[in-house]
This record gives sequence, structure tokens and C-alpha cells, in this order.
Amino acid sequence: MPAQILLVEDHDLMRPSMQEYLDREEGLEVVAAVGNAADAREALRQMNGPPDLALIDVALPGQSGIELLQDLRTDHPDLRCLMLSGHAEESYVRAAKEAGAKGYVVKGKPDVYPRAVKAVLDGKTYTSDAVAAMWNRAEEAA
Amino acid sequence: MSDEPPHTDTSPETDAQAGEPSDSSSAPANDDRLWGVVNRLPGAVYRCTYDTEWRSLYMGDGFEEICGLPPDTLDPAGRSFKEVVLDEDRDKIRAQVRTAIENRSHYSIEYRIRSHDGTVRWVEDNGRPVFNEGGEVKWLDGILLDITDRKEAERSLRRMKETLEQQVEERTQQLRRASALLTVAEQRERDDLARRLHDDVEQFLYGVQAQAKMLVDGIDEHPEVDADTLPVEPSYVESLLRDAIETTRRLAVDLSPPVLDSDGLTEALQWLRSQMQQNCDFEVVLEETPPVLSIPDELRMLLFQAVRELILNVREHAGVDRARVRAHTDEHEEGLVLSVTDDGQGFRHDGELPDPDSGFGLRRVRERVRFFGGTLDIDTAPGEGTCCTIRIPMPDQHDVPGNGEFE
Repeated sequence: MPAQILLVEDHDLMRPSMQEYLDREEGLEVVAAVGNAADAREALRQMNGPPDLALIDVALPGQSGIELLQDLRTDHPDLRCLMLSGHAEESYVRAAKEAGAKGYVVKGKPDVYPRAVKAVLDGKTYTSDAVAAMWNRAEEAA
Repeated sequence: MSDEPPHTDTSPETDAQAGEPSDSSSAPANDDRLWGVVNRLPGAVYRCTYDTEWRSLYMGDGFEEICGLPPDTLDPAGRSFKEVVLDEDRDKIRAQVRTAIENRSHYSIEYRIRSHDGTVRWVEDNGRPVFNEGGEVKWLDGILLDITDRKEAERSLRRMKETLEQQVEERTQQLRRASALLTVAEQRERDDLARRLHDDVEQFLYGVQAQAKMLVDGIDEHPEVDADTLPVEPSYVESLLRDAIETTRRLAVDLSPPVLDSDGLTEALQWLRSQMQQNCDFEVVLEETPPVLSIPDELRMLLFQAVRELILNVREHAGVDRARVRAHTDEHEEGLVLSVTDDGQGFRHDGELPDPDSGFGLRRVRERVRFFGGTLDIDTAPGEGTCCTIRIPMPDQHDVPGNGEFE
């Protein structure tokens, strides 16, 4: 049975592209693809239990991806969350790490998306090269 | 002060040998010509005692013209000259007369007297002490000139000057505030543009990139498709998209450096150094970093943009790939000094700056810095490199607009 993924990405072209891209990957299935935090909660309510992983864009309209991450980690402590962002910025990386994300992927390298998702599903941490040092610093500070 | 007894004579006299008033207090009554000259002089010739009262020994007719009091109303037995002088000016007169006596010199004093109708008149008193053979002061001789009109004109001029200076100061403050508002507004526009680039263009490109990746993967997964027959190499499209994303990302960062949001000028310059190295392969040496000062946001933005413009100028026009940046407080620790120096080809500089449209940003930097009350000095010559120095005062906090003014 493929691993179930909740995708939260607000951009109307990026969201279906990402969904399709991950769906093509063996062992992965995007069970819900939504554009904001409220829709993500609604999608979770309609599921029979949480998915295996939530892939969340950091910059969402309204409630941010980091805030959604905090809420999801509270409601579903076992849910693995992977953050996705165009910003390779220390403040975002640190906030994601502190809120309990299992990784941080910088957009721009499609090959990385399924690799990162699979790594986190395997219980590992995944960070793009551009933010690896920031993640490590956040880890040391924790 | 001497306590010489009051003289009763009411006319001056001359010392035939010295050509000055003689010791005698009796006037040559027959010398009409002398009196004619004395009383036709503009002002009032006088002789008075050197004591606490300045009793009049003689006062010329001009006194009445000055203050409406006939000269004979001042006499040794009656009203003293001191009585017509305003209280608050008396000490000044005493001090200056004392100095003239000590130095055996003249005195020239401006002070006020109360006229017959109660109005105040200004006089200029040019006089000298006269000494006897024993070196004691016999009396004071002098002439009073009515300078009321001049004083009024001076006061009027002074008021106009003060008003003018106040207006200039107000306009300067307005200009600085407007410039500060403009700088912040400009940066907000840049921030907005950067956000649109990031949120719209960049995200769109990510989507296209993912689609293109699937297309390329699809081609790879179908052996019946001969990639060589395709008009464009699929990986080339991917490469173009990567470049487009990178360019957009860099443009957004250039427009709105994230470091400007919250960090100080030092961090901003360090960030600029790393960006120039990373993106342009251009070395920026921070020889001295700015002191830790509380710099208002708009000034920090201005200085950052100015230094960046100067560095880009070096990169574009100096023919070198290295610039040095220094930042420190001025000698009075009241302002900031930032300099950008290069060892490049320099240029001929006669005070006029190249037009901004020519690609040089120097004039733009100078104009903007000037709005903040600062200066941009350029030291350069062909083959001698260039040193651009910005000097800018630290504004008072009340001189710059608060965030609320933008809401």
C-alpha cells in the first residue's frame, strides 16, 4: 500500500504539478492536495486517521505553513511533516525545526521532492543542501 | 569711581596747548564759532562727572533732539545723566568706562536712554576720560549719537534673518522627512515587487519546472521516442528553467534584501559582501565595520543602497574586481562616515558628476544623501583609483517619520 501524503501548497500550478509528480513515484500517493491551512484541517477530518506524511509549503495565505505545522504536531504527534519553501532562510528553517518538522526542502530541484519524502517516511531527516547548515545550527541550539 | 564735586559750568573748553578741553571749567563765552560747530554736530557733545551719578557739566543742544529733554534739564544740581539711562544698561556703561580709564583709552558704548515722552532711544556714546596732572579722572568728555533707527533696522534685520533661518530649518526638516518617507516608500515598493516575483513568478516557474521534469522523465520512459529527433534537447529546457528560477530568486533578493528587515548596518554590509562574492565574483573588503548605533530604518536603507550603488559602480566602470568599504563615526561622533575605495582606472572629476543615465549612479547617490543632510565626496583621477566618501549626520529620533506615518 503506498504511503499517503497530504500536500498543502497554495500555488495553483505548483500544487497539481507536485501532486502528479509524487503520484508518479512508486510507493507514494497524494491523498489530498489543498491550498491553505483551513482546507488542510478539513481534509484531515475527512480521512480515516492521519496520512503518513504532510508536505507543507512554508508560505501559505492566512495561517502560515509553520503555524499549521505546530497545530498538526499538537493534534497528530506521530504525523511526519516535511516543509517545502522557496525561501532558504535561517529564520524559517529554525522555526520549522523548532516546530517539529522532519525536514526542509527548497523548491527548484524536482528530483529532490520524492527523495525527500521517502527519506522522511523512512524515519530520516531530509534537508536541501542550501539549508543543511541552518538546520544543523538550529539543532545545536535546541 | 571718583567723588569729584559737581561742576557748575555748562560748557566745554579747550586746552590751547593740547588742543583738548582745558582744566578750566569756564567756557570762552565769546567763542561763538566753537559753539556753533559743537551744537551743529549730529548728536550731543557732553561733559560729565566720573562718579556714581554722571552729573552733567555740559550737554549740547543735540540732546533735546535725541530724547526731547532740553540739555539744561540736566545740571549738576538737578537731574543727573544717570537718571535718563535705563537701569539695566548702567552696569555695562560703568564697566566699559572703567576699562577705558584703566587703559587710558576711548570708550564706545551703545545703550538706551528714556526720552521725555517715555519712549526708549538708543545712543552710541563715544567718549574718553580726561585726567588731571595727578593722574586722576577729572571728567568724561564725549558725544552721544542717536542710533535708534539703526538699532531698529538691525533688530528688524535680525528678526528677518531669524525668520528666514527658521524657515530654512523647517524646509530642511520637511525635505529630510520627505526624503526619509521616499526612501521607505521606495523600499516598500521594492519589497512588494520582490514578493510578487517570489510568490507569483517563482512559484509559477516551480510548477513549470515540475511539469517539464515529468515531460523529460516521460520521454526517457518511452524508448519509442527518439530524443534526437526532438527539436529541443529536453534537458536544455530544464536547464533554462533552472536559470530562470535562479535569476528570479536573485532579483527578488536584490530588490528586497531580507537582511534589511531587522538587522543592523553591519549585517547588511556583510550580507552585501557575501552576495557580491557569490553572484558577481566580486570581492568586497570590509576594512572597518560600522559602529553599533541605533540607526533609523530609512537611514539604514539609504546607506545600504548607496554603498551597493557605489560598489556596483566599481564593478561596472573601474575595471577591477575588488572594492574596500570602511564605516566609522566622524570625529565628533555625531555622524557616520562610509567610504568605498577601489584601485581601478578612476576618472576625470571636475565637480560635475556623470549623468545617471550614463550608468553611473554617483549623482543619484549624492542627491539622495544630500536630502538626508549628508555629503558625497569623490576623490579620483585617471589611473589613480576612486574613493567615494559619504558623510551623514545621525538624525534626532523626532526628525524622522515613525511607522505610523505610513499607515
